[in-house]
Amino acid sequence: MSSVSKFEIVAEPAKCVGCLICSLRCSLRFEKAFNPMEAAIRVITYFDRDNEISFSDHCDSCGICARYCPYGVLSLKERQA
Amino acid sequence: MGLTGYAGKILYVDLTNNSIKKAPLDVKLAEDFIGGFGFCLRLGYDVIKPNLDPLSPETPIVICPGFLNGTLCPGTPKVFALYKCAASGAVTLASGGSSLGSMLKWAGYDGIIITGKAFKPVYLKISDDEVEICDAERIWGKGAIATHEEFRKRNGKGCSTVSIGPAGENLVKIAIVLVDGISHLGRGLGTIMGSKNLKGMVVYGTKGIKVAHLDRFMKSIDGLVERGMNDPLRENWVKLSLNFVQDAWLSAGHKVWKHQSETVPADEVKRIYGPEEYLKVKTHTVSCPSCLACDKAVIGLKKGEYAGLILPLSSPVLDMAMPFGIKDQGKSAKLQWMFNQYGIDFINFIGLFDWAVDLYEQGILTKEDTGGLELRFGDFNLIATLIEMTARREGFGDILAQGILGAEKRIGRGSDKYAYHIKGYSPDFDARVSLGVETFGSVVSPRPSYDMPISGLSVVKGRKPDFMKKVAPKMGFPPEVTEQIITPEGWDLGRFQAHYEDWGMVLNSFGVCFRMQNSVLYNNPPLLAELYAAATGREITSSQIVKVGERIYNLWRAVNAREGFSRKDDKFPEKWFRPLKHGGKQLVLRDYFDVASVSHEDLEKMLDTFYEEKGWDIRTGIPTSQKLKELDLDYVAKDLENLGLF
Repeated sequence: MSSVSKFEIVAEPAKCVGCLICSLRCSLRFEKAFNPMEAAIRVITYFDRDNEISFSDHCDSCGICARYCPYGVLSLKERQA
Repeated sequence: MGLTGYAGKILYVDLTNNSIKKAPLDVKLAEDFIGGFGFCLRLGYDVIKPNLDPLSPETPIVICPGFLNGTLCPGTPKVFALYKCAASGAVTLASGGSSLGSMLKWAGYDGIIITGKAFKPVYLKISDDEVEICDAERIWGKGAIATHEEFRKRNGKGCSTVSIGPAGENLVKIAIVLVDGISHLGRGLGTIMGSKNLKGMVVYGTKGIKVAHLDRFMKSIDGLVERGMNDPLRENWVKLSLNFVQDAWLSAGHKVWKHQSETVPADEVKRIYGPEEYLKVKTHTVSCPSCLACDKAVIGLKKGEYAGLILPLSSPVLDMAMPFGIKDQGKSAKLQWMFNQYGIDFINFIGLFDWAVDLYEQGILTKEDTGGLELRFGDFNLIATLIEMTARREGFGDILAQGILGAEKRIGRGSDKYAYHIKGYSPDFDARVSLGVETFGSVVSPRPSYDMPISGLSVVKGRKPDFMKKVAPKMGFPPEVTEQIITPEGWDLGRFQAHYEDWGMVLNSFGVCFRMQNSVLYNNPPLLAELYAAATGREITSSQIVKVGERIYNLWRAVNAREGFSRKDDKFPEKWFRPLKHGGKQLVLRDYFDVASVSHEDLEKMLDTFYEEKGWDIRTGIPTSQKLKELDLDYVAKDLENLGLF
């Protein structure tokens, strides 16, 4: 699905604090529930390195995660051709 | 029953019989107690039989997530545990952050009641509907941090973990529980887990939480997010954590050492542990779920004796080690790592250590008692040795492992006269620095030294009565009460405290974080009523919300009345009546607004007004039958009556 979007989500893991706000908000869109496990964005937290941020095939780059991220980790950028 | 906003089930685990049962959440429990600590108390009330030995298999541990855990409500991660504290005998609470509460709700549970004692070391594994009691023999003896890491390795990086260290296993009475390798469920819960042979828990939930009216719920959340993001102090909290208020707290006198006789030298603390120094060792900021202004952090030492040490901290303030006389960031970090790994409560250990040094200086303790150790401040190797000896209950460490009340009995020789504690636990705040809700509250609370710094209301002196008058209605104080108890000259602290405690219980039921950047968002009864109604589909009023808080606080006091606690236990530490050297001046006990000095007799009068405002018996400090019935706690009134407590 993501391949059809003009946009893509760009993540800067070094800024991520692991608040899960992105995945909680994303899951509302897909599941109408607060459920990070069903979100199209996944965050795994670590103490000894930057967190891991990944996107599933469900992600259509709608950008809602970037809109809600309070720490400037995610941004919506126009996809390069 | 399908109440939205809740997970829907209570989990019952009996470790003796290896039995796991689930029951649907009762609607009345939900309506009367909201969640979190309210659930802990109501569920615990039936199973904590009076006068049980805290370490007996029958004594339960009740763990409940706050109502808003696991949603997008900013700053609402608090999960609660109820247990009987081995150091004091009180039925008490631990509260913690990180993802445990959210995971429990996502897995489908609004509460867990753990009873019994496993035949051999075990841990509890919860993955949605699958609940297993698993073998922990191979990890028994490991540190709490190492156990967290092992749990993550075995069960995936996304799970929430609960772990105890050797201190909990060895029934050290000030043992703590580590949550997700960074947060704590503190002050003695680790001891009770150890007594059950329960090394920890692993929780993974994939069910999520649904609310009744999502648009309504999100409208409130969007408002909260806007306020939270526009908080002018937000960046400071995220960048510096509590180090941001270090200067203000030091100026006020908030770090006392040398047997509570003087405050630490502020300039020296700032030079060694100031914000600039902190930023040199901070590597990452860490958040609980849904936090807009997180202030947990990872310390990573790049140079010095402990280079390579990685230390996740819930309250990353390295000046915590100053009262030990430790003046080095690396050594402070190493000590805090040891406390987490061994699973010992830092604050109570500092209190015990300070007291032991005092006794040694007075000649009450000698090298014969300490096994040849010379007790003194500033000796890192001594402190590290004592932490390990305490965790293993070896030699003099076995005395410290009893907590202050137990150690007093073991040492005897008038040692109790030098002890500084409230109900057996070291206070966080000193009333000579500020006699406010945090210090008065720690005396009257059933939890030893439990202070609820909601919005840091009176931690530091300087706020005016007008400010308190504006804040009080936001914490659910009835308007006529606000008028009566706050005048242009000051406040009636006892009566103010009575309502403040109820509000704290409201926040504890919803799971709101007490850090001021978060709790201040929720000092708003109509907002909480709206969030509850939007989530559950059941309308509730602000006054009903406040009444839930009052019900919880009364039930907590009543549970402890069953255990024999009463006014006689609400004691002010004697050291608060002596001068405290602070810079070139001396701090003495004065009212918060600095109008007049406060005597022992004045404090007793404050207790009178506190009990009176709560509707309790002034003589005993126990809730009256009438008050309990007014709060729909008739069954409690009957129990207390049967015990002859009225």
